[in-house]
Amino acid sequence: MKETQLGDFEETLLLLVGILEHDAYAFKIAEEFESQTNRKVSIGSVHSTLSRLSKKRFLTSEMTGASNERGGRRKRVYTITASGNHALEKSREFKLSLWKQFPAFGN
Amino acid sequence: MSKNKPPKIAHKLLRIFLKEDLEEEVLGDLLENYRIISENESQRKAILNYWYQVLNYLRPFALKKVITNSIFENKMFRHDILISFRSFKRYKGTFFINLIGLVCGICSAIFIYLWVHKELNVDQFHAKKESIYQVLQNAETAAGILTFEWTPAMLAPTLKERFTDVELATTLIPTEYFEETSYLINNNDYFEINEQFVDKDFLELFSFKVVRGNPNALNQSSSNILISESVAFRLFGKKDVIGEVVKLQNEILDKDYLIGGVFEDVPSTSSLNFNVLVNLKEFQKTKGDNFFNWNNNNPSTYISLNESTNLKEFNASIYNLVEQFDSNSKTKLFAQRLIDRYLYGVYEDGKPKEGRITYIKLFALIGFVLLLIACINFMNLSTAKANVRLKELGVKKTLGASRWSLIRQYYTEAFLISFVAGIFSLVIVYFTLPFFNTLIGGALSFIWDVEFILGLITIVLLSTIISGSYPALYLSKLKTLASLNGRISGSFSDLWVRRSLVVFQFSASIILIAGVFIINKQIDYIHTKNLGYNRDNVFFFSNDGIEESDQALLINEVDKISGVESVAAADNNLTGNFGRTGGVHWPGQSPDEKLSFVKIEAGANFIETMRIEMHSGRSFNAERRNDYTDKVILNQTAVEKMQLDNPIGAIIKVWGKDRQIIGVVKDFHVLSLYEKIEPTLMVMSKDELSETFVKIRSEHLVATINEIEDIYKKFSEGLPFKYGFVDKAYDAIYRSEKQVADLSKLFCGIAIIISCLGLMGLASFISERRTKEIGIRKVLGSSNTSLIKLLSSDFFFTILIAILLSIPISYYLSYNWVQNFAYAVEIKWWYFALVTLITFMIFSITVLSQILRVIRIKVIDSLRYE
Repeated sequence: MKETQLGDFEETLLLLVGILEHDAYAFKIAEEFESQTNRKVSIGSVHSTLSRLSKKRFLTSEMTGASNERGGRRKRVYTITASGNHALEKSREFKLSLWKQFPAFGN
Repeated sequence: MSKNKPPKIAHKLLRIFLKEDLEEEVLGDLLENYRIISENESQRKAILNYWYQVLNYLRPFALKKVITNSIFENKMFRHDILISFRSFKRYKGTFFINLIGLVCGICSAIFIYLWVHKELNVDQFHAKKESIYQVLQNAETAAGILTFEWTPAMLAPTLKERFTDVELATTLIPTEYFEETSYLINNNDYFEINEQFVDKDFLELFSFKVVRGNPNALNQSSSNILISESVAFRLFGKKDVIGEVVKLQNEILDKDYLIGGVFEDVPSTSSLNFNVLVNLKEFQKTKGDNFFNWNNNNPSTYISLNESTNLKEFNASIYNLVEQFDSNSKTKLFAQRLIDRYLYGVYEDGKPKEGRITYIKLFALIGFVLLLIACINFMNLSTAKANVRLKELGVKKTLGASRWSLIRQYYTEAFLISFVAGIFSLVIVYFTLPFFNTLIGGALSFIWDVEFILGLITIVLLSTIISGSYPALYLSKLKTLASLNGRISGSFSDLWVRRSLVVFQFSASIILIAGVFIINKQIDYIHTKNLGYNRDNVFFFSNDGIEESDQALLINEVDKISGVESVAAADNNLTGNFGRTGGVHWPGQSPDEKLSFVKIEAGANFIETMRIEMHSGRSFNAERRNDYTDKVILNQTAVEKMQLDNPIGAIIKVWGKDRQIIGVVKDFHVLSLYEKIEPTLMVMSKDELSETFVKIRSEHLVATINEIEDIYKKFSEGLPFKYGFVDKAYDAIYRSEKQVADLSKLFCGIAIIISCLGLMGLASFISERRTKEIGIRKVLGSSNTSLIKLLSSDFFFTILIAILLSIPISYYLSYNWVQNFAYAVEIKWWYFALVTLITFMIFSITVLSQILRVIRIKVIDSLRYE
């Protein structure tokens, strides 16, 4: 059984893949990450996490869209799977329940 | 678009390690990223970022199979190691022989490396090392061109003024200039120092660091001095001593100075060795204007030259410089780079020839040879052992092992053993370094820098490659079927290779033994050679601190001591080149003939005290007043060179004054045995003389020295009593020979041990393999003698060839070495006979002991063997 728990970085990347929809490939995701978080990240580390998420079956991918800027090379575009969605939901629920138990923010 | 491409090297690197199926997407992503940055920001940033991205792809998920699949490789590697350990365990004897041999070899190599490293680093710490030169002088003398470092004091300023190539020029009086001990005195606390007199360019030219006070203090006032950190600490117990006043006492000075600064201790790799710096003016004041005369050579001169200067052209332009100021001068100038000066400090015909570099090369070679001998053990034993391991080899091959994997197996074994030996050696060297230092009188230390670690790795890898290559390449080449059968094809050539390896090993050992033998003979010869005077039980002490008027009284009192045979003062302890004079003229001298004399000024009884023998005439007589002023004694060489037929009674001119020759002494050695006996002239003097010589009756040595010390202390004002023995002082000249001799003895011993170990292993192995054969032969009636003959003939043949090869080589080498001495031991044929006999015995005993062990096995046991 593969580890199904999501790490913080993994969770962020999964969300970014969802946000970028049809344009979710390593470089774009890294760029989006940097612009959303103001933190530097290398394409390599994003790529490595994406491939880990694929192994956990949270993501699928396919090679498409060769373009001139890429020297005629195709890109690997990722999409979230059902179990990826499920993992994200579970993670959100878990965190929400934690927030609810936090008296200072409790309502 | 094509102009703007990402950095090629990074791109290539990425393609080397990146998984192929990731290539398209990753290259695409990176290119896109690169273009965006180079358009929005700058090309430089884009290139840097590309590198950053590439390096960030060094992650397990993205790496090529070779590396991701390393688990399989690891298993193979682990297998190699396992097999290696098993073979070590199974053949413990061989393993230990290899290990001990390699440890000896690597230890020696490390010692030699440390020593060579230090020698090569002398004077390398100066920032301007490439452009610092020392100016030296060549003087034409009757004995050929003599090179010396003393130069006129005006040389440095003149060079700087006249030659634009000269950037800095400094005049200094090195600490060696003074024969007597110098002291810094703080409140009656005497501390021995090595002081050096320098001018203003000194600290600028050389990289000695002033750490406290004002580096310029010396230039500001000549009553300032600089001292080293350790002197400061020793005298005051602290390092901050600026402004303190100390008294400096040496041959020429006795006055108070202000400490203006403290400099870092001079590193042991400096050829200039000092711990106190004094302004040159202080030296010059005591010498008067004479100091600046061009025919007066006191100081050393160092300069720095422009980087673009051609040394040859510069040397040509300064060649005749001295002559322009002193028309009588016959000296010629040349500059030598400071960093070469230490290594090439021996001059022939006025040109640097050899020097320490000879010893460095010699020992580097010895180190390499020792390592080689140790590696040969490994080669020999593992190829010999191969017969036994052939089956293992065959099975591996049948199961599809590639040649490469077999080669790797042997290299792994060689590497493991070298590695273990390397670690052992490091530990051994670390703990025996102090002992080694006392042996060679040096101060070697571990410096854990990159160079040392690289050196160590090189030594280990070198021994791996040397020792592993032959077995690896040879054994892996064998045919599968033959190795399964246990038969080796082409064993003939194999035997020859092994034999020539053994021959090489023995030859190297024999050459070392012969070399050590000759070196020791020469040193014995130096010690026992009749020097023309008797130096046993003669001790001398320095007359420091004794008033001139008190000297006669002192000698008188010492003479009264019952243990003293005789006593005399002199300015020369007969072991160094201390005084020379050319100012001698004699009847019948041709006008252009010049003769340089060794000059000995001595008090009454000197000839008697030193037991110098008279050839003819009489010795000085203290009772006759004009013996002091009008008489002179020469040695035989002087008489010969001057071509005096009837020397006794002849009148010669010494320093412009007539003196009558009253006697001729037999030749005796004043200088080291490197040099021929030179014309010598002796005059009796009442002036202040630097040394007092005392011949003691041997039975009262210690008591007598104590009594003399008491008397000395009555006359001197608290100065320590400094004394030495003439024979010790004499030995000191040959210290570097002694060092070489001691070291070579050590390494020769190691070479013998390693070779014998290897021979023992080989002999025992080969005999053991024939155990069954021996049993059968015994049953059939073979005698022990014939068995020994059978088993040992091969070894003796090998040893014989080694001896025949090595004798001429060692003769040639040792002959060349003794040529360095003017008085050399004669190399006799029986030296080599003796060496041959000794080595032959050592090797025979080694071989025979192993063979006998196998022969002694009971017939029934040897038949059951295997």
